[in-house]
Amino acid sequence: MEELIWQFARSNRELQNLRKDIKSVWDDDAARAINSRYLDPHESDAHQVQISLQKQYTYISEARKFRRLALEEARRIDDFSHKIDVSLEATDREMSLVFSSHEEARNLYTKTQALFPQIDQFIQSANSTCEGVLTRDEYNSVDS
Amino acid sequence: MTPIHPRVLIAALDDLQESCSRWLVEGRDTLAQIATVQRLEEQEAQTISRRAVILLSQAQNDHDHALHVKSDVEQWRKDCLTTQQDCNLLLEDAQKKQSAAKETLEYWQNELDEAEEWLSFAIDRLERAEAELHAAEQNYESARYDYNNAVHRYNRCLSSEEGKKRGCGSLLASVHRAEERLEMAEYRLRLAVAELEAARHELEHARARFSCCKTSVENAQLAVNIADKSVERAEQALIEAERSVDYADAAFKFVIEAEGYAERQVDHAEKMLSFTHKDRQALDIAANAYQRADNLFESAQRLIILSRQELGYRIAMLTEFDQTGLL
Repeated sequence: MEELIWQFARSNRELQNLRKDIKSVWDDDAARAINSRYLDPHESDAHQVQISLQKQYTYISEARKFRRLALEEARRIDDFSHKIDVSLEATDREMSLVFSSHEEARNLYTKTQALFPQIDQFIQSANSTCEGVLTRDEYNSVDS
Repeated sequence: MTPIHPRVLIAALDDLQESCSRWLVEGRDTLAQIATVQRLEEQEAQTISRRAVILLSQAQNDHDHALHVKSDVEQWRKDCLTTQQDCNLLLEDAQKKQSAAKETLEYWQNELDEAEEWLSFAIDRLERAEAELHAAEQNYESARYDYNNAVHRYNRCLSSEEGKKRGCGSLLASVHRAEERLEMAEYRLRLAVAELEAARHELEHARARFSCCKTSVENAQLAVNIADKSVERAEQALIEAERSVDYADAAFKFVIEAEGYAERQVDHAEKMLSFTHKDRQALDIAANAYQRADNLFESAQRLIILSRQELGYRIAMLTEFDQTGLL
């Protein structure tokens, strides 16, 4: 775009230079009339066109800068997106271990608890088997 | 001022008119190309702006997802800690049961040892009682035999002539002695029978005690075996529960990391969107500038067209003047 503006400026410049050159051979009332009515206002308009195009170019450059920054942010977003995926995959891997260990712990907990009544029962049986059966001392005291 | 030949002037005005035409063509071409640049810039800006909106939405979704996963992980971590506490209590209970079972076994093992000792004693007593009975029976038989002999000899003496003459007093004394011995043998025999009966009775009780103690020890041993197994399982349960807490801690660390990345991703997405807004604003100013340039170019174009017409008119006039030869 800079080149286009430069070409437009060059075209303006060539026209104005030609006008200056011609002025030495064409400087009558008619010339003054055309210049004042058309070519001088044209020169002013063309100059303003050039200024406006330059301003447009300045803001397009500014916009491109922001777009470049936006794209840099997009790249960072992609990086973070990848990092999030990696971290969440790692979380999933750990969680599958959590599930299996927790389930195993709960199974063992239930199985262990299921043994307690059996232990109590055998202890009770051990303690009740000899109920009513005399010990030696008891026998001797009864016997005597 | 030196008069200028019309042909010189015509040539100059031709050049000027031609330069005006060239300006017009080049100017139109430049403005058209710059309009294209502006349009392409706006298209690109719109594409990036849309992408920024999509990325912001995705970033917010990622952040929400990370928070959701974090909440799940936190809940699981709490569950794992609860299970770990449960397993600690379970292990304590199992160890208590194991102690109770071992104490029971130890108690009944002592009782069995005592019962075994008693049984051994009762067997010895029975054997001694049987031996004594055997000896007492023999002694009794011998005493009875002696007594019978003494009575027989005494009766024979009483019925004999010699006995009638000399008397049987000495044989009667033998009968009395034999009778005493028989009574003593009889007493010993009764004692032996009673001892045998008592020994048999004690042996019966000792056997019963030994048998029940043996069963109690067997039951207590089973209780110990199961209690050992329960402690082993409870320890394994606690190990698994502790592992699950460790894994949950690791998962929590990763999800916190993910949450941090997601927050930064949202920040960058917001920045990107902000840059696209600034891009849009700059392009709006550029578009306004172009619009002003285009309007001014329209005016300049109109002026250049009019000046070309005017120059054409002047050239025509000068050409005609030159052809009439008035100069």
